[in-house]
Amino acid sequence: MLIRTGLSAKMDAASLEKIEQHWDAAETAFRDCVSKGYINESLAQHVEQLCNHGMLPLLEVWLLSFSEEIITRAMKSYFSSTRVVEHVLPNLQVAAKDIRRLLEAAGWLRKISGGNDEPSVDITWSCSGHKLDIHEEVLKLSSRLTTFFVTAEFDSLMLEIFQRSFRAFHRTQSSDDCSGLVFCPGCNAEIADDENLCSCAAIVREFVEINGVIDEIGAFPSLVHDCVQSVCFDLIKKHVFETCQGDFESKCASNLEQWLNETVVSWLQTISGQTTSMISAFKNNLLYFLHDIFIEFRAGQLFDMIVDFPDSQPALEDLRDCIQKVRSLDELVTKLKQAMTTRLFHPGVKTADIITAYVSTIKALRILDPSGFILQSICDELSVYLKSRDNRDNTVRIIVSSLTDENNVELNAELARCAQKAPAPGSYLDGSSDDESDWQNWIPQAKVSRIIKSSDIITLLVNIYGSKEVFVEEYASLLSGRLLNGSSDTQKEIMYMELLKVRFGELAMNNCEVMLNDVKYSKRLHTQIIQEKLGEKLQVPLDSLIISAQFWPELKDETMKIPESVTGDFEKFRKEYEILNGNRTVNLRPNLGYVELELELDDGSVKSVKCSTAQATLIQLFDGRNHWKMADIANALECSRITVKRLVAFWTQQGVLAEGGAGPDGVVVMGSDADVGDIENARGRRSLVDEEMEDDDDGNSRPNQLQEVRYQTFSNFVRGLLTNLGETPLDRIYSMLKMFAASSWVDFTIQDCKQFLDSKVKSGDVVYSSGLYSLPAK
Amino acid sequence: MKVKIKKWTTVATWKWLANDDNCGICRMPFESCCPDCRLPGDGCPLVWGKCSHCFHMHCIVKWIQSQQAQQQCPMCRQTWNFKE
Ligand SMILES: [Zn+2]
Ligand SMILES: [Zn+2]
Ligand SMILES: [Zn+2]
Repeated sequence: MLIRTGLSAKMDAASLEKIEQHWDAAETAFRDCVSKGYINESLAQHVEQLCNHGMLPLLEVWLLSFSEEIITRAMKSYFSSTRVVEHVLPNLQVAAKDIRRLLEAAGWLRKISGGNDEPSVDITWSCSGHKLDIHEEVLKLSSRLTTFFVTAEFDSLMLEIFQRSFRAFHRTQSSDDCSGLVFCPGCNAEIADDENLCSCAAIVREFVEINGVIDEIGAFPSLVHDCVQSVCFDLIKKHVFETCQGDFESKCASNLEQWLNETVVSWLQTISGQTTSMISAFKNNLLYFLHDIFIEFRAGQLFDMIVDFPDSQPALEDLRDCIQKVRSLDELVTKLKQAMTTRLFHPGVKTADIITAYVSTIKALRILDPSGFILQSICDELSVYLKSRDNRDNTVRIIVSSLTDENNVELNAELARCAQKAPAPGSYLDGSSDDESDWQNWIPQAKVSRIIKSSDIITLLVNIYGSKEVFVEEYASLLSGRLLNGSSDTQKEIMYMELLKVRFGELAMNNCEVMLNDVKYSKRLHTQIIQEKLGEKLQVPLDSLIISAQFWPELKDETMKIPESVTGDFEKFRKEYEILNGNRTVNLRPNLGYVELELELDDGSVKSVKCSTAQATLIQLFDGRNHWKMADIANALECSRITVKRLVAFWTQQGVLAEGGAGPDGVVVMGSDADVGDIENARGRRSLVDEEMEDDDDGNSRPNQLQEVRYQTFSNFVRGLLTNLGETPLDRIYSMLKMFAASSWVDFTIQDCKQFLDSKVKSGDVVYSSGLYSLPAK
Repeated sequence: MKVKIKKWTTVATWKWLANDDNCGICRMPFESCCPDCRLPGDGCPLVWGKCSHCFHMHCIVKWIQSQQAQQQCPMCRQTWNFKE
């Protein structure tokens, strides 16, 4: 019926019938070809007649639909009968038989109709404009249909075959001795008694055969692809994870490539047989995947590599080489950012450690990615984070102090190294566009600022703050602090200043230079005035630092009384100064400076302390007198009680004084006859102060956390208590809290209680007035 | 307890004994230096005129040199003479 529709209406009934006969004969011949496996010789004649009437396209369409019928039948029966690995090949051979014959028939038709290029063919009936390659079409159809009918069950069977074949292949290739093993590592056969029971070779043979058939009939192309990919990728992943774990001190990428060629690629080549086209395309994929998986793996370790820098340099170079082959920087950046967020960017990490990590990051990323793209993204992230911490603790201060801290080898060396060459002009952010002149080298895909690419580490650190001025100002304030409390080594300070001058310019460092000049000049004055002029006339061993106030950071001015012996001696110094420097005078800043003391305690022990002038003045009061009242101290020093408390706290911390020793307002010398409090109690008090005095940077340390937990449970209790009792004195609250706290805080003292309540007062939760605590009025 | 001072380091700021705080020419504090200098004090000293006005030495010298005819104190317009 098909043919009638395709024929011209002009055709007479006789010719029509003739053609119908040819068609029917051809159809039968093709069917026989598939069922019996041979091509009827008369077929050529029928096809010729049909072609002469322009019916080749119709014949091809018919053959395709016939193929669809055959292949569908074959596959349906194949998948329903193939349930175990052992059936895959025998059943496939059965199913392939029909498809193979179809292909042969299609090939024959192609040849006979002139659709192929082989010139050896004698009979051809070319139909003009005819392009269809029927053999190719049947093969494609086979690929499509076989894939269409694939079941999930078959899918896993194939994967198993591929995996098994790789193990077996690997076994047959390896030279490892199998004797002594109970099971063959390749095929799992029991080989303890007889090595010949190993079926590795058979497995490989069978696998080659399967692949041959599959390739021949074009079956399951995507399934095969998936299996090969899955097996190879699993292998590569496993191998990378096993061989590259944690070792950053050697390169391993080239070993990986060698391994890939020797193991995986050679497996593919051997097993694939004729399937070379697919496999060779696959080889490139594998190499790409190897690099990809290696980068992914290393990306997860990048932060560790940075921490381990410079030991990790080989691993970084390794990674760099791989990245250049694959160019997947984005993932690397994402992973590193993730690691930094979880491991570096949280309040528990000290700023100084972040800075150290930052420096290592810069160094490591410079190796990893010379383009600076990664560094740029990471630096942006880091500076945003560091700036966000600025309120909590002063990051600039930490950078400056680590720069000039000899123990910070990293930055210290960096500073010295960089001092050898001044930074290129324009390396600091100064508002002007940084790549105007460099537009020719501008890379759109990775817009990396010149600063990132070419600046040294200190410049990058300094630029976190946007300007060197902020940085230098901070340095000056640190230097001032060190000079004023006598904790500096002038020679070193001068050296650092010279180094920083090279880096930031003389003008920026001018204030610091004047400050250090003041120190130098003060030393000369010490010789000229104190040693040569005053000498024996002085009551106290005096020294004086004469400063040029205009050039120092603002110094806090406190009116405060210091011992008259000191002010008296300073007067003598002033007179000599005025004689020496005509038209100039000096004004004493009593609260500034530092004192070295020697305390001889009642038990005969001697203690050397370096402290502030105020602290020294206070302790002088206790010379020969073991007990003072806070109020009297405030009178004697002409300062507030708060100041007195602060000063006393220093000496309690030193273990010299104890508070509350004789009456609520009393301060006593520890261990003296006035110290009536028992020793244990005093220790408790001392340790509390210690905790309070601890460096803020360590604010999250363990004891304080414990304290916080305790305080939280206390808060509710105290609120309830004050709601019921109204205004309550400390000792009442203490006695009640003590009962409440008995189980969780055995050594809960009244000081602890006061500290807790004071913290509540500070936060506004509790009000304190004339010795009574209460809740704030609503 | 006995408290013995081993060393007391006082801090003091130095100051010019002048009847004004700033240089009338450069407007900078006397204890700072003139615009051409970087180090104060001996590095950029003050000088007094007979009129009792004083300036950074560098400032008044520059001023005098810039004056065409008569050399006057920029503050009181009296003839400028260095105080002996
Ligand atoms: Zn001036
Ligand atoms: Zn000057
Ligand atoms: Zn004058």
